[in-house]
Amino acid sequence: MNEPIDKLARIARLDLTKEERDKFAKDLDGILKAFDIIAKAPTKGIKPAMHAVPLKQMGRKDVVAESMSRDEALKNTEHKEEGFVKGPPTK
Amino acid sequence: MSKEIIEEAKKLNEKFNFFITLEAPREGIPIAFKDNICTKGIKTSAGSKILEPYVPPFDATVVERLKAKGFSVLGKTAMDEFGFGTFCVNTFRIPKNPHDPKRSCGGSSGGSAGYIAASKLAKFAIAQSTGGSISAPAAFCGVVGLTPTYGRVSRYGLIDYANSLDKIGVVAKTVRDASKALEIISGPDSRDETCQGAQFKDPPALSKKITIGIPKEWLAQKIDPEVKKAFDEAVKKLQAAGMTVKEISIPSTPYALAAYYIIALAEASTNLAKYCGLRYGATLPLEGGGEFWEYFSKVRGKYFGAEAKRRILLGTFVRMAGYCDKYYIQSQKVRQLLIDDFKKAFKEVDIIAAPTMPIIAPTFDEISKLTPIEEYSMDVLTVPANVAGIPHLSIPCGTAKGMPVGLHLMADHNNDELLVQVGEKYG
Amino acid sequence: MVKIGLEIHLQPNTKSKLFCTCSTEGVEPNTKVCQICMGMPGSKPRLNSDAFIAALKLAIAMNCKIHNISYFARKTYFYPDLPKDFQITQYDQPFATEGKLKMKDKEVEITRIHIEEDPASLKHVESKNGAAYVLIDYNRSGTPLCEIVTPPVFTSPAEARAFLEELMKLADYIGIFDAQEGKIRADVNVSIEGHPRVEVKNITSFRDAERAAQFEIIRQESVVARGEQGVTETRSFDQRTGTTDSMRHKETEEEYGYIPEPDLPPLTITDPELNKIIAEMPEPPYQRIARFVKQYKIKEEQAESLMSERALADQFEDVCKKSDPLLAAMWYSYVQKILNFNAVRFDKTGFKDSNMIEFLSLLSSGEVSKRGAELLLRELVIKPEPAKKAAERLGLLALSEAETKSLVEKAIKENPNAVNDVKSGKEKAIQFLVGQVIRASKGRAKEKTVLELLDIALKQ
Repeated sequence: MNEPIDKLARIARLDLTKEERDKFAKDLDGILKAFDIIAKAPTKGIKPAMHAVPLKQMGRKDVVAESMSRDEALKNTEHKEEGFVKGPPTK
Repeated sequence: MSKEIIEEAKKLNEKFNFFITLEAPREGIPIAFKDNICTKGIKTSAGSKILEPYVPPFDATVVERLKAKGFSVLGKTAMDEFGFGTFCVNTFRIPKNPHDPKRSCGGSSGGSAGYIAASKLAKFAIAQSTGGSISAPAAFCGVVGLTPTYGRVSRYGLIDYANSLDKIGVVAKTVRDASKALEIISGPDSRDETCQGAQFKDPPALSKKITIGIPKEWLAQKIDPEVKKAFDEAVKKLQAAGMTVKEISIPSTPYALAAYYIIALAEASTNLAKYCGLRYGATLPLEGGGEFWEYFSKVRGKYFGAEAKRRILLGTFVRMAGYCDKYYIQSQKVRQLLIDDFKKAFKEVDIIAAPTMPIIAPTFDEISKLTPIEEYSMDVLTVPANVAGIPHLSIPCGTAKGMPVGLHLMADHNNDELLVQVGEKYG
Repeated sequence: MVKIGLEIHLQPNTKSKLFCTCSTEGVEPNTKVCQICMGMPGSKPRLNSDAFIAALKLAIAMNCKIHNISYFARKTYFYPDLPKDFQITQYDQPFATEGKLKMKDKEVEITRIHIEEDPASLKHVESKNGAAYVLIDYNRSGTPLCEIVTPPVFTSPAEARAFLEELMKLADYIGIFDAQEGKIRADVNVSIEGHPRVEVKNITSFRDAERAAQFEIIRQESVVARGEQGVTETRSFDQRTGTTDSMRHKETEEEYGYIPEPDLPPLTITDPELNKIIAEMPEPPYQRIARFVKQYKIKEEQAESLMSERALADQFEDVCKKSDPLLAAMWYSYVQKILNFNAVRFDKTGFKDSNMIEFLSLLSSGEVSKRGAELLLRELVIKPEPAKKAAERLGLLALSEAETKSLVEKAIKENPNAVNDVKSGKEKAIQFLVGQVIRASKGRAKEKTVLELLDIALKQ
């Protein structure tokens, strides 16, 4: 694999122990080697299939419906203050 | 009736670990749901520690539709974390195969399949497949597993693994029971813009002559000879039922497994980004948690299992600029190749058949010795149909070394009704 | 040589959000939220088609190439204001490209337009014990945004700012944006000769966009002057000091890893659907200005000012069917002064074409004097009612000749010096007397009548 595992872990926001870093680097190498086979697939002139079945445009009109109550919306976290969700600082 | 089902489920759970959460509903026939399906007011963890405390404030569409028909939520069944696995071991609650508790139920819908296999009262349970997660446990546990055409059952309320591959389906004792359940949960849903397929209708008995195709590339995979023997017997049974059997070709088979994992993991790595200790799920104290990028990394590092981390890392890699074309886009092209192969095959035959899995349910010991790529390779027979989004049905067909074997039947897009008819005919 | 480009985010005036039915107008934090805009597991996006149509109208008004099929994309990165830690936006296949905004004396190229969802809003807090954290309000999360990108075609900060004003006026004119209340912000990218492109974010007003560009030019000039190597980077504008700071922070550099959004079908607009929208679009302002000048013989500045709101230009044309265009143009100018003074939109006043027509005819017939007309119009625009009724009620109808005569006589009696001045040939003194009469009449006396009567009275 051409990217250092640390870089991937940073992009994906995953703290890894040293053992994990070593193991995953090895795992990913092996897996990607096996995946290299797709380069041989005869895909010249083939368009990528985003979905397995054709999908039409859907969408709805601009109407407002009732929102969730604030209590319900914030129920699943203990990190909250005065109606806001509380989070780690950005500076 | 409801009381007996609950009592039985409790006993089975103590013995086999099928359930993460068990409820005691007063009304309606209690049904088991895989734990990645949101149930309002009932804990839904998708088998992951990072969502272990989560209680959804809404029901998935499939739950609403079943409730409207008089069913209720019995409990949430064990699964590989977010669907990441073929043996239901990548999670905090590992179900045991009722045929042999030293063996895996299969995954990722292990809890649902095991429960149906062991229960004397339950007729069906709701499960879900991305690369074969309904068929694999159905085969390993000796029950019926029905995965519909992509887009015929709403994913609204399904905790995402891979949005272009996820399908909600049914495990059941009989094909008829699976079919009736699929009728209830299927049909267009405006809340899921990819759910545009027609509602499935439980079909009448088969009346037309059927030709079955067996892909030669699939039989050439490494398959346990005892499993192959059971499959051959099943093919004979199909012929005895008046069906013609012939060999067909799915030439893109060698690329299917890689394409599946690349698409699935790329999408999964984006779906799992939301789990970072904010708004819901497992958290850490904010004090001393550091800046946002430190806090997120700590939470995710702590609560995701090893397989989840591995898949997130891989998925992040294959969609990075510079690699995206070679891996992700190329895999989407392979998906088109597979769809084209199936379309061509379905011009020659009505139904495709193969063994569901190349092995019987492995022991937990055997599983612990597998490398990641060896584990991924176990999906080789189920991923082609899953990538192409065609409907597939696993039916028990005898045993190998005392463990159940599955016969895998597949039909063209939106021919789910024919698939069920043939499955029923097989008996 | 200065090169400035703009990346503008404009919120179209939809009532609901882009991917859910929550209202776009929340006040108390986290009261207009749902599982979708809070990114709860299992939720799925559902496209607000009218938001797409609003964006289409903007793209059409800017002469863009509209693509029948385009794709939403997932832009994945981690920040506390993103409910899913990915944003649904458009990446390499936006729905509109290659446009032109036709301004008065130039055409500005538009690179692309696309739609995307807004993140939540963040507030930074420092608690007493020094611990810092953020407070997140998801009311804003999921709001639709039109992103408009220009190439680096502006050669001065003032030019860039003028473009922003034009864009905002155009968006208001076609009915997708409220220039008074709507939300619009711009990032600028700046490069001078010898220095690579720098992007500046965190700009919240058009004036700040201009200030940011001004500062960047100076900063880049000093880098070049010192012989240093300039860096391509993203900088943050500090509103307080008017300066930009480097945002480069290795730990927070992102790799977005775009994939097409798998929960949504391709974004599609068929040619018949598109043609229907085009047919319903208003005449573009620059075209309408030229036509007004030609057709109604009004001045270009008057025509331009009528474009400040489409409803204003529309009503002007309706009124011109029954009234003199030059007179109408003059008085619509005054209407705008009244609107500005009261900080109110014309299309919210309820002032109808029949109100203006009646008003103008009172003026033409002399039933209301010019001064009285000004007072009358101030009332009518804010509280529209039949003009003559209002004039009566407010005592603004012009005085009759008899009433004027008695005031003229009174003014002559009270101002003997001025009278003598007039009689001894000082023509200007007559204006003084006219003024006195008009004042005494509280603006109701008609100047022409006063002059005539004064003339007659003084000749005796």
